[in-house]
Amino acid sequence: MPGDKPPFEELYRDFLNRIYAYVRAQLGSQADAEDVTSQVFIKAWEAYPRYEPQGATPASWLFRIARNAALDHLRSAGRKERLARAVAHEPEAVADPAELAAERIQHRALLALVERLPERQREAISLRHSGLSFAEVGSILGSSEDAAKMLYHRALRVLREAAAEETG
Amino acid sequence: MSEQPDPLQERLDQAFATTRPRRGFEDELWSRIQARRSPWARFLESARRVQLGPAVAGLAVLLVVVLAGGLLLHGRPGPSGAATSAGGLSPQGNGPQAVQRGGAANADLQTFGPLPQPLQPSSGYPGPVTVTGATGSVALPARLPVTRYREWTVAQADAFAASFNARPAGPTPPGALGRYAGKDFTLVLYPTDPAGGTEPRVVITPAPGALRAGGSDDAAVVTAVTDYLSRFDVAPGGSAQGPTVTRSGDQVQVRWALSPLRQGWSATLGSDLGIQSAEAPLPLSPEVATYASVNNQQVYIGSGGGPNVVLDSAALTYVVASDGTYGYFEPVIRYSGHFTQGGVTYEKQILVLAVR
Repeated sequence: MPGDKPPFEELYRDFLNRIYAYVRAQLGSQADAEDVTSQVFIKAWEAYPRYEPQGATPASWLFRIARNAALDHLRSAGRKERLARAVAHEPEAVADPAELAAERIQHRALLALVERLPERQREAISLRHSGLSFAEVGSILGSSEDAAKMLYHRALRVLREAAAEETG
Repeated sequence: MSEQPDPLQERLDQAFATTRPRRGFEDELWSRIQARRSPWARFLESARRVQLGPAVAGLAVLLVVVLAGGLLLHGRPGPSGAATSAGGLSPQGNGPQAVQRGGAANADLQTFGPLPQPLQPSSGYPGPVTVTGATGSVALPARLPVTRYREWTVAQADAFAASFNARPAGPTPPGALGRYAGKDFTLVLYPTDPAGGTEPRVVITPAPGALRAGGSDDAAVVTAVTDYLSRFDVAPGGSAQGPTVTRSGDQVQVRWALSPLRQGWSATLGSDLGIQSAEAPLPLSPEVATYASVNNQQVYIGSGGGPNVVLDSAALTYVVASDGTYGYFEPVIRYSGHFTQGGVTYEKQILVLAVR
């Protein structure tokens, strides 16, 4: 591997939580998010020898893999139907009392609103709040940095309206 | 972010930052990834971590420099290994039990006992010769690594096939462990083949038209082959070198090497871009040991009763060998020399184990 590439484990430890959060925001269910996150890092490990840091930042590279994996998952037969059911009925985890903290519940509710955004808006919000620059978001979504910025702000507006509706 | 974040953006930042997988997931997934890594890579990493002595440091150098990264076993689990093995995964979780060796550094300085003699090469003069001299020499380090893996058995081949809903479907080709038919493919699993120089492998033949590449360009062809091999959990891993795509007539061939000395993955596509056949190394659970190198006295080769030959060339290489229970990648010295008989010049090659 080229010397300027960090060890894969470093990448894994740095990005696991961010990738998981991103995937979770796309898929809704914890089990699906774990499955897809696993696929992402296994694919990334297999592709790492071919990864060229000059071509993409590690974040862009990993989130692109994550995006494709999440889309594949969503587009597979029956996934969307199951997603709707999962969003509507997924039970809260109760093993960890901290999970029940009000702030967590609010965060989860907010992510549930993100999940219901149109696909590209959902991706723009998720990628941006996973710590990516607009240039990286644009690169992953196949658009310019400016277009990514516009898409993000449009998504934010829709999300704001949805949040207002939720709170009555 | 360049803009002033509003409360909603801050909540989103917090929501994403606090969304975490369940406890233990990170280590579980890392273990799964580790299980797919090259055992040799894990071995070298272990050697670095525990700062082993000069012997192992030299071994690492030998592996990397002399063998140029060759002999790196692809990082998938395979048949169960020795009693010191730990952990386990199998193809798609249902195949033969597979074992990864996490503590390689502890066991790698032991030997496996006597090694099988290498099969003599089929190229060159096949008959016996009288070696009148062995002037060719090669500088050997004091110790050389040997890799051993448990041979695949028929039962394990059956289990591997069953994990893909494939059933035995005779006749079994000569030398194969079994032939199996699935819904739209057949599998033939082979054990180590010292004559062919191949380690255990699977040959997959899709039903005609079962799978076509999405395009004729190299990227589409490679993607189709990788995806197809992934279905059987034998896709090229991190240690694969390539791919190379070659086109000849109506056929397209895709290959990845494991090393210059080891056969890797390959697939052939027809003019309709349908995959005609694919071949991949089977998962292995290798162990590494170091052996003392032979000295000049041990390299001496006696009379065989044929034409006289002086072995004036020597090179260190590795060959695959098997004793039926285990397969080995063992170091050998490839001696060669020429002689003329009946006006024809022949080359004689003789392989001698480079360790004792």
